[in-house]
Formats: sequence, C-alpha cells, structure tokens
Amino acid sequence: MYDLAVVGGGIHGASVALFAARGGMDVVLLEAGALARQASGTNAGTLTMQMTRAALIPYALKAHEMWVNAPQWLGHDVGVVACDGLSLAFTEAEEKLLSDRAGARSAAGAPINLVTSAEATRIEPGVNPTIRMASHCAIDGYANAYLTGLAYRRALKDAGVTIREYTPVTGLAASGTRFELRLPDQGITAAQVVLTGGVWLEPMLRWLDIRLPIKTLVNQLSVTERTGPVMRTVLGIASGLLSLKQFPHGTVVIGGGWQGEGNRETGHHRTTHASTVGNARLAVHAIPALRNTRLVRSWTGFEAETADALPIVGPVPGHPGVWVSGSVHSGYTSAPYIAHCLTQAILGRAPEMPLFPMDRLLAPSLPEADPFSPEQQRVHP
Amino acid sequence: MTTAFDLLVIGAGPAGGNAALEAASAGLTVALIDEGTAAGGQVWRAPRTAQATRNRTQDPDRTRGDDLRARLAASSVRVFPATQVWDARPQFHISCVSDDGAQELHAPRLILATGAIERVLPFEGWTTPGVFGLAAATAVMKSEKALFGRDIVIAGQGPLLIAVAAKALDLGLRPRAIIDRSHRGDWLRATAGFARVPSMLATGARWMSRLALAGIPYHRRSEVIRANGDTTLRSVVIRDLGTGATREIEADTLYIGNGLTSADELHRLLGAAQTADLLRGGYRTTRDDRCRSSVPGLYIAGDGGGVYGALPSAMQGKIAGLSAACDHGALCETQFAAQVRGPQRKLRRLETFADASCRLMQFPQDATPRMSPQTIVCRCEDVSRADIEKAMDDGARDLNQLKHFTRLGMGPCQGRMCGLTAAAILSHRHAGSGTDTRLTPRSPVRPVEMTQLIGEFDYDDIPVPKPAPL
Amino acid sequence: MTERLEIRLTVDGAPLSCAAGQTVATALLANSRYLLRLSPNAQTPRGAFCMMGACQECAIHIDGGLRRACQTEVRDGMRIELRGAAGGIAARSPDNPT
Repeated sequence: MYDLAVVGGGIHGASVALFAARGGMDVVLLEAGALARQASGTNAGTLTMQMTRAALIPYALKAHEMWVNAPQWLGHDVGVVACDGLSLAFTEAEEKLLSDRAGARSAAGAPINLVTSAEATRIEPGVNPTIRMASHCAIDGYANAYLTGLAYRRALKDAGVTIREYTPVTGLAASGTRFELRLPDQGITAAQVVLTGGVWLEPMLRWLDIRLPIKTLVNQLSVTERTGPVMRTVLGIASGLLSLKQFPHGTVVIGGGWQGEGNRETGHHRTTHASTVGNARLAVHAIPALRNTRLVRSWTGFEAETADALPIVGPVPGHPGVWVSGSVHSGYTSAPYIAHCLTQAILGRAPEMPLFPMDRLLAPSLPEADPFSPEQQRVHP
Repeated sequence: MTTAFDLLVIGAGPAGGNAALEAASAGLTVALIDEGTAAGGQVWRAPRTAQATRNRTQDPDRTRGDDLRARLAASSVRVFPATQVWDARPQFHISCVSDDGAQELHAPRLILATGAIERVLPFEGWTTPGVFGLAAATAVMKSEKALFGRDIVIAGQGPLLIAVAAKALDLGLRPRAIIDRSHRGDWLRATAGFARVPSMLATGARWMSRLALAGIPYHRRSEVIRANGDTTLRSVVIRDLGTGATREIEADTLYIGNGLTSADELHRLLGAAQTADLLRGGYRTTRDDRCRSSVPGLYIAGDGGGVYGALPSAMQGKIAGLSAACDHGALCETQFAAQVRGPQRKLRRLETFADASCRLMQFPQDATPRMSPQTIVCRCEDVSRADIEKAMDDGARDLNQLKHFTRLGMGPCQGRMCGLTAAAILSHRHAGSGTDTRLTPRSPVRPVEMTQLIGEFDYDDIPVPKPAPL
Repeated sequence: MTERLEIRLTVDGAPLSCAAGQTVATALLANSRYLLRLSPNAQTPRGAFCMMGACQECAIHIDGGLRRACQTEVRDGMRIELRGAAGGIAARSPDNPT
C-alpha cells in the first residue's frame, strides 16, 4: 500500500508527487498517457503576472520565484527565461481595459506599472510603434513546456516516486481507512489520494458521486521555424488574447487562448482555420517583423475551467483522505507553489497560503423546494 | 473567401490530373490544386527552360506529361497552380496559399493525389552541400535538360538509379561511379516482373548496356557510408556490403536515393485509415477498388496513398475520378462499370511490374540500426542517432515523445525527412511496443509564409473573443 | 548548357545570370553555388537537397521573404541572400543580429 496515490501526471500531479515524496511519503504517480503531455506539455509556457487572475497573483509571485530557481527544487532545466513582459493597447478601449486590469493585478501585489508607447518601444524595440500604451512587468518570463515532462520525470525518479505511465485509473473506492484504485490490470491501494486530472477531474469526481462541472477549453498555439531575433520580451494584449514570445533557440510561439475544436470524451482536438489566422494576425500586428517568418506547426491542448474560473485545490468534502488540485487557469505559472501548499496540507501541516476549497462550487446539500409539489401549491396557488 | 466545387483534387501529377479530367468529363465542377507551376507532378514534369522545351526527346514521360497538360488546358477543370494546401478539414474545406493570397476551397468530395517523396538512408556527412536526392537529379534533368556537378557519383537503389545514370550520359556527362545497394540477384528477380511491360524492360536494358559500354564503374552490393567535405562535398566513401571493404571516391556531387514514400500528411490529417506496408513505401492508405478511403467522400489515387509508380498512379487517378463522378450521381453504375473497365484492366496488368519496381526500391529498414551514433537523423534540428538513443535512455518510447525530448520533427520539414527513420530506430529498441510510430498529423501540413497566411487585414476586423475573466 | 542567360539576379549583392524558367536553386547550382545557409542549431553548412520542395534545406531569403529556392522561378532583378530563417552564412550566433 502506498502512502499517496496521485492520479494525473500533469504538472499539478507531478509537483504534488515530488513534494510529497520529499516529505517522506511513499508515492505512486498514475498517468493514462505519458507525463505532462496534455495541458502541461502543450501550453505556451508563459510565466506571466499579466494574464494571471488577480486572486491568484500572490501565488503566481511565489511560483515565479520557484520557476526562476528551478534548478534548486526541480533539479533540472525547463528552459526558464525571466524577462520583461508587456501587455499592449492599440485602441482607446484597450487602454481603459489595460489600466483597469493592470491596476487590479498591481493592487494584488504584482509589480506591474503602466508605460508610454515610447517607453514600451525602448523595452521592446520590435513592437509595433502604433501602440498607445502598455503595462509592464519586469519579472515576467517563460519556460519550455515540452521540456517539463522530461525534467519532472528525472526529478521524480530521483525522489523515489513510482511512476506508472500508460496506466489509466478507472475507478476509486474507499475501503476502510484506505482507498482502492481500479486499474486495467492489478489494482492499487493507498492511504490518501490526490486527483490532478485536469479536464478529466469532472469524471474523476463522479467516482465519488460528486457532480462538479469542469469546462474543457481547447487552447490553440502556433510556432514559427527558428528565426533571427525579432523580440526579447513576453508580449500580451489588453484583452488577454495574445501571448507571444521568442525562445532562445529562435522559434516564436503564438498563443493567447484562441479556441480550437475538441472533445474531452473522445480526447480528440484540433485547430480551426479562423483561430490560426486570427491569432497570427494579432501576432504580426504586435511584432511586424513576424511577417517574414513561416509558421511550421500549430497544435491544441485541453485546459480545465471551473464555473467561476478559479482553482479547486484542497480536500474533497465528504471524503477525508482524498484531495484535488486543478483548474487553476494559468496553471502552469502557479503550479509549483500551489502544489507546495497542498502538499503541506496533505502532510498534516497548515498550508502557507489558503487553498481553494471546492465546496463553493457544489450544489447545496438540501434538495431545493419543488414549486410544483402539493405543499408548495397549497401555499402558492 | 470560400469557393465551392463538386470535387477538389489535390495534386496534378499522373493520378490527380487524370482524376480531374475524368470527373470533369462526367460533368462535375472540379478544382485541381498543385504546388508546381504546371501539371505533371514529379514523373511527368513539364520542361521549364527554353532548352528543355525545344529538345526533341523520345522520353515517354515527356509525351505523357505534354498530353496531360494539353487535355487539362482544353477541359473545364479549374487549375490552381503554384498553390500550397496547408489545412484540410472534413468535409471538405481546404485552406491554401499562393502568391495571390489565401484561399479556402470547399467540396463534398476530395481526391488526394499528393504523390511521393524520396527517402535517403542517413549516413555521416549527408547534410554536406553537394549531396542531393536521386529524384533531385531527375527533377532537374526533366525541367532543364541539364545536370550540375563535375565529379558526379550516383548511388542508391532501384530503377531510378539506372535511369539517372543513363540520362546523365545522354547529357554528355560521365559519372565517376554508380553505387548500387542491390546485387545482381535482386535485378534478375525483378526482370521477370519488368518483362510484363516489355517497353519498360527494353528501356531498362538499354540503359544498363549504355552504362556498361561507357565503362562507368558500377559497384554492386555497396552503400555510401560517408560524405567528406566541410562547406561542400569533396569525396564519398563507399563500402562493399559483402566484404566490408571501403574505398574513397573523389566527388563534388552525389545523387543518392533509397526509394520513395507517400506524401500522406493530408490523408492522416483527415483520419483516413492506413496500414503499414514496407513494399509500398512505409504505409499505405486503405481503399476499396473504387479508390474510396475509410473517410466518406475521400478518394485516394496515386503514390500518395502507397507507392506503385507513375503508370499505375495514372490508372488509379482515372478510377478515382470516375468513382467520384458516379458517387456524385453524374454517372450511373452501368456507365461507371463501362468506363472503369479499361483502367482497371491496365492496373492489373501493371501490378507485377509495379511490385518488381517497388521491391528494388524498398527502403533498407535493417540498415537503420547500423547507423553510426554521430549520423544526423533530423536534418532541420541536427538531431543525431546518439541524441535519439539518449532520449530513449531517458524514457522516450514513441515518436511524439522523442520529438518532445530532442526537437526531432519540430523543424520546417515537419518530419518528412526523419520521421520514418526515427521510428525505425525506436522500434529497433522497443520492438512492437504499440505506441505512436508516426508524428501526430497537424495543420499546417507545410510551412506557411506568414504574409500569405494573414493576407490583408484591419486590426479592428480581428474577431477577438471575449476576454478571460479577471 | 546552351541556354540564353537573359535573367539577372543578385546574390548577396553580386550579379548572377541565368536562364528563364530556371529555379533560384538550379540557377545557383549551375554556378556551383552549393552552400546556401547554415543549419540553425549546430550551424552546419547546408545546401539544396531534395529539389522537390520537401526538405526545406533551400529556404533562403528571396526578395526579402523566406522561400524555398527550388520552388521559386527566377525573375529579372530578383534579390537573393544566402541565409536561412535563423541567420546564415555570416551570422554564427543568436546574438549577432541578421
């Protein structure tokens, strides 16, 4: 029997597994495919305060510190580059939106300030000179999402975590003081369980008869071939629908949440013509030099979102010993720190910062009054 | 801007050109899209220069190509030359780009006739300038009636090897050597198959005797193991596969090829079922005898669905065109049966010949494990055999994982040059592990120039979706 | 070759004549210009390879845009720069702007 079974090998699950193992637990990490190949391996790798929800800024700030120091706690390189971040405004409406958002995030503790067009051009010489203004954060940056799996794999092995890839979990049941996880071959038992299934948290929670809708976003990204230097910051736009960065090896990744098509049930997802073109247009508008590049690949990945677009991190109500972590939105940025806090709770300590209990999203326990019931009709004819 | 047709045909080679003509004859509105400036594909290439055009040749490929181009010009087929398809969605929307900008074409039926590309077994130094594919030589000779290089070595396998060498002689060039992987027995075995199309056998024999008469050194059962030179080729090292003896040959140009493989990105993107088939180039797209794939409305013709050769491709094209016309309702079953009989008969007659050819061209899969560690496998990203082995040591078990660990396949060729070779190295270590042996098919299926993709636009017209919550 | 070399290109500023109908790739190759660019990762010398548009080794700067030389027909006055997407023959490091 394991001390802890982590179900879902994306960045949330891998981080919790890593920290729990280092905290002395005997951990097994179960993943239906290969580690960090879903959302965690397909995202743009942006580590930015400027697309993080205000409520998550304190967590993102701490996580950013962790990412910059990845060699210390992860032990391996995920290509983290810390650099300036700019969010651009091209129209009057965007200026207003930008000021409001930058203000809110800044109030939450993010070091974001508004800059003039001239100042923005000084920070990012390649930017379209017609911008009206921008918001600036000196501690933005990015990591290389597709290196995540490899880096975590090595760290997990070093920490003694049992990694079971290509091992889907098909059920979970409490059995006295432990939990039984149903696998295709032999089952597994664990004293505690963490569910970190990303978009699949909804079907996972149903194993426990919990109905919690998780929306499946299908985010789309594109990348150019390796190209000469065209930019040196992480760029976004007031509405949030652009994320643009050039990696040290020269490729430019274009993203921002444009939606592709996909289905959690079938697991299939793909890009749409309109999103590829729209996203590319925004990118070229922001960095005109991108006109001379070629797009060589685009792809899609799932992202989980709860009804209020805030994370679910913490104990699963009614099921002591079962925990959940996911749906963080810009989860890649905050994952290591959120996992750190959750692991503290799992190890029986008080988490450094508040978790995000899922209770708020569950239906009330009493059944709602039926307006057509005989009792109601007597009162309200 | 979307333009609608009854039928889209992608690829204007022997298969696609004929498919479009058959369907148009039956009354369908047909769009024929090709990357090249003229129809003909690889094998029936149009001459491009004045010298090539006026050169009176008895090359049957030239005659067939000219005939195809003339018939297309006289037909109602709407041709889109110099146009690249970068995305395809059921059922069916095609995104393409050309110097005129971006286009979307739409039709309920689609014929894929995308042809094949060449495979080259990697060897040390194969990325040195001066090393070209074998099909590269044919392409240039057909287009320009010329071939470049002073000290030329021609290497590889299959009928193309002999054709290139003989045609080089015709141009007045004198190759330094011919390096043939096959041995006499392979050719003898093939002769029986070639004999089924006597004209082709006669041509082949003529080529062989020309080479012998010219005294071109012919090294059988030999392979190229290294290309020397830093900025350009200086010499080539060959090895006798039997004795292991090596020898160095001075050369400034090497043409080398190890068979063909289907250009099947669109087939895979659209989800057509495939089967592994080494004889057909690696994989073939499954189809019925009316060229229908597993995807409704999608037809497969020519080497893009499995390598058979130019003549079988032409027949498959006719069948696919007729099939689409029949399914459209423009031909009744009786008409279809009558018109398809000829191409089907020709196809059957060509089968043995095609198989003999393909056998000689079949990629030497068992040679991949012998590649040296420093041999580059992914040319775009300089990923070597050693890098791949290291990634496998780190846990990469399938091609997509290998891509994530090494960047293999992330360059502009999108895995065309390296994917199958990398898969062979993977399966050598993890035989039959059952995980992905091909890179996930993705749009764009070819690099797209940003200017062509985005076209002209106003910032305000970009449909930015609702912003994320704060 | 007995072609009329009536098309004039510039290659890194220097003139080069070729025949109508040739591609940029064959025009360069006919003049023994085999080296076209450096590979972006290891900076190794590269030239045209497949000549059928698949390998992307011949993608160089033609009239300011990145194009496959083997798929681009020559035009009078065309400006060729022997460098690929990520730098080229002159630029040897990512810090050296192209």
